[in-house]
Order: sequence, then C-alpha cells, then structure tokens
Amino acid sequence: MNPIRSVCLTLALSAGLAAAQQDAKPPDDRYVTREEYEKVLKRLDTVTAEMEKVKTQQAATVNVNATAKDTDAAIEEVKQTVHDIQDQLRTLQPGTHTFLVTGFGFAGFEDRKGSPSTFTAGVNPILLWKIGDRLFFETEFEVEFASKDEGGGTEFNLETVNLNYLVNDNLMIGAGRFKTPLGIFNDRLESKWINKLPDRPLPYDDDKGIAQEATVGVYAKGAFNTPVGGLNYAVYAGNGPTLNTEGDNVGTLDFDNLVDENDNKAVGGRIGWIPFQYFEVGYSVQYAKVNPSGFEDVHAFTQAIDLSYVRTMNEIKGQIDFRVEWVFQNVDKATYIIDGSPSRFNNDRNAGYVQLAYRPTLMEGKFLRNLEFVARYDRLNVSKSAPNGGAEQRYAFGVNYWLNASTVLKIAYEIDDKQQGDNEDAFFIQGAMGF
Amino acid sequence: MTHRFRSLTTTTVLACLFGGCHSSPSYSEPGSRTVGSPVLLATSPPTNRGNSQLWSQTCNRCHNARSPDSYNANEWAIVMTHMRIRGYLTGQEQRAILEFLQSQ
Repeated sequence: MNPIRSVCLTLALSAGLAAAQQDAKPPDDRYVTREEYEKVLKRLDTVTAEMEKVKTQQAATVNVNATAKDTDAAIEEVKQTVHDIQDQLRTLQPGTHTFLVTGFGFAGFEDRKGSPSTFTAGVNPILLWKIGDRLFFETEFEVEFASKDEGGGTEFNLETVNLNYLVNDNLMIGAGRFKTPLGIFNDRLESKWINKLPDRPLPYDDDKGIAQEATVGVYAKGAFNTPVGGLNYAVYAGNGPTLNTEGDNVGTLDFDNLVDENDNKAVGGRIGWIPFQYFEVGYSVQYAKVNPSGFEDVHAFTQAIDLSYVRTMNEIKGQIDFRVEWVFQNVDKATYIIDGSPSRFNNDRNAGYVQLAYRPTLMEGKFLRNLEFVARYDRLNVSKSAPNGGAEQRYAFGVNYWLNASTVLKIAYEIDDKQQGDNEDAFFIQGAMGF
Repeated sequence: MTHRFRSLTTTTVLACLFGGCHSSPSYSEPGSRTVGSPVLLATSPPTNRGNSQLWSQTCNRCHNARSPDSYNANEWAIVMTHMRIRGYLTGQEQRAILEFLQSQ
C-alpha cells in the first residue's frame, strides 16, 4: 500500500474517532480538557513527522530510479559511439599491403658556356609497397626532357626497382636495381631536393662520373649499434660495368650494363662508422671484370672514401653540412685500336669533391634561417696516357632558400678549369621539392 | 713556433668539432629552434625525448628532417621502412623514430 495513503487513512480514522468521542459527550461539555488537547497535538506531531519521513523516502526512491535510467542511457550512447569509431577505424586500417607514392620534382634553368642555355624540368616518382612487416618493394622512375642529341622528347628511366626482405633488426636482403653503395652520394644524396647544388659532383656526374650510379643484382645490408658507435654495411653482387673499347670514350667504363653483356659480374660493398650522430666515415670498394666478349682480360678496381659532418652548433648559430668523397679507379692496361692504330694504356682515374654548406638555423629572423650558403670544390683526374687525359676542377658557389623542409630554391655559379678543352662555366637556377 | 701554433690550432678545431662545442639536434624546419645535446647511438634511451633527438639527428645526416605532420601514421610506417633500407637504420632505430612520429 502507498505510504501516503496509509498516513491519510490514519489521519482520517483519528479525526473520525475524535468526532465520535465529541458527539458522544453531553452538549454542556463542549470544551476539551488541557490533557486531551495536548494528546491530540502530540498525535498530530507524530503523524506529521511520519508523513515527512514517508515523503523523503519516496523522493529518494524516485531519484534512484531516475539516476539508473540516465546511466543506462549514457552507457548505450558510449557503446554506440565506440561502435561508430570502430567502424570508421576499420575503413582506415591499411591491411597487410600498404602503398605510398613519394619522390621529388624539379624545374630549372641552366646556362653553360659552350652550350645553349635551357630550361628544364622533371619528376622522380617513388612507389613504395610495404607488404607485412618484412617485405618491402620500392621503385623509382625518372621522367625528364631529353636534348635533340639524346633523341629529344621525354626520357623515362627505371632508376631503381627492388624487393627487400627484413631478416632481423640488423640485416636486410634484396634483389633488383638499387643505388650502388660506392660512396654515399648516389645512395643517399642525389635527390634534387637533398643535393645542395643544382648539378652533381664530378665523381658522380652523368657523363664524366667514375662511380656506377645503380646496379642490377642482389645485396645484403644493415646496421649495428656498438659501444663505439653505429656501424652500417652493404655487400652486393651485380652485372657491374663494361669497358668501352671504341669511340670517344675508349678505355672508360660503361655503367649502363643493365642486361649483362659480358657475363662477368661485379662484387662490392661499403662499411660506415658513426662514432657520433653528426659524424660518419665510410670506405667502399668494387671489383669487376669489365671486358666484353672477345676482348682481352681487363679488371676494374674502384675504391671510395666518404666523410660527413652535419651538426647544428650554438656557437655558429646554425647548421654546417660538410662532406668529402673521393673515388679511385684502376682499370687494367689494355690495347685499343684508335684511329686505326693500336694504343695500349691503363685508364686509372680518381675524382672527388669537398662541399661545405651553412644554414643559420638558430639566428633571429625567418628569412635568415631559411637561407643556406654552399661552396663545393670537385675534381676529376684522368690518366695522362688515356685519350683526353688530364684534370678538370670546378668551384661552385650557391645560395639556397628553403620554403619548407623539403622544398628549396637554388641559385649557383660554377667556375670550370680544364687542362684539356674549353672551360664550361655554368649558371643555374633550380627549384626542387620532395613529396 | 709555427709548428706549435699549427698543432694548437688543429687541436682546438678538432676539440670543438668533436666534443667541446654545444650541439643541438639539427632539425631545420624553418622556425624550429630546439636545442639538445649529442647522442651516441649505442646509449640512446628509449624515451620520447630520446626518440625525438634520434629522429632529428638521424634524418639530418642526409636531409632536413620532415615534420611529423608531413604524413599520417600509416604513411609514416611505410616511409620509415623505406628510410631504414635507404638510410641504413637498425630495426630499433626505425621503431623508435616511428613511435615518435606517430605520437605527434
């Protein structure tokens, strides 16, 4: 029974009883005694107290019911929200195969003495597939304009294409076409948004370079942390270069041996030591039998040393980026037919560069912090017994402006000094963006 | 005397280059002015600050460190595997840098 009803009933009964008692008394006895009055008052107080108590209890019961309902509703809402988020996350989850297009693009102007000035542009898309935790596939295309001498139109090259397997934290193996780890420029620095100057240094030049840019073959590489610093390594075997036995470049190496033409392979490797995060020194080597079929036995032995020092220092209010690389190449003596006469010579060469860049990243003023000043000296020494033998050295100076971490505008001037032939001083403007 | 002066100069320059000078992580995103201390690879603690330094110093060995918001978390996982292969990182370094980039 409802407690309020019980109280009301009690009150009604009490009132009725009091009235009946009053009616039963004689008319002359209308007034209640003090004792009776006190008794009724006391009873009324008791009933009132009980009513208040019942009301309080009922209000508490109603509140408890309301709170429980609210909590249930809130839980339902949270469950629904979590479910919605899970649904959204499922649409974003990559699965075991993930894919990304990255790379870089560039546009520029080059005015080289002895050649027509020209605008140029290109793009190198890099396609990356991550297949699970251990398999990784990457390929890089190079798309740029070709001169009429090179056939004109647009050049489309497969720069790299390789499949990698991450064996453990310290070892990766792979196969395909990969940047040759001979020195560090080709492997790490050649992207136009990374290279501090618009052109490539002489040892890695597209036409005069003596280090193979990319190799088709297999490799193993990795890195260790040791108590004396970081160690990294790479070993590889590939198609290797072949020997040019005729034409203007007789005696030099041809690195476009994409499909092996001489059935001779090259082996090589590099080891790098990082005693401090800002300093690395490395040594690379490559050994290859380079003679084409029907030519006498010729081997090429190439070595390279590299040194990098990249550090931000408060004392100079910025970052310095200092690099030295030098490549030494020994090609066995061989007899070539030049202008109808036999000529025997070796084609030993060496080439290298020293480059210093400074960017005032800790100075006041955004414009100053985005500027970078670059100077480079590079040199190529060719055996004097070889055709066109002698040395070439260049001095390049540049100013870069960084629009963001991977977009740069470069202006540079290069002074050329050749022992043979005309000097080819050059002026460059280039914009490059990594994406 | 000249020889002594040359030796002293060489020693001073080498001391400054390889230890004496204060160094900061060379993350050079315009506007960034963070300052830290040189870290030996072998002793890098697996903390977020350590990971941050590892990120800036490792990336800057070859190029400017890209801002963590350049890619989303899934894309960074791909990029860091690519960088491990091209940049000769250990698996531990790859995971530490990835953890930092994905936590930003």
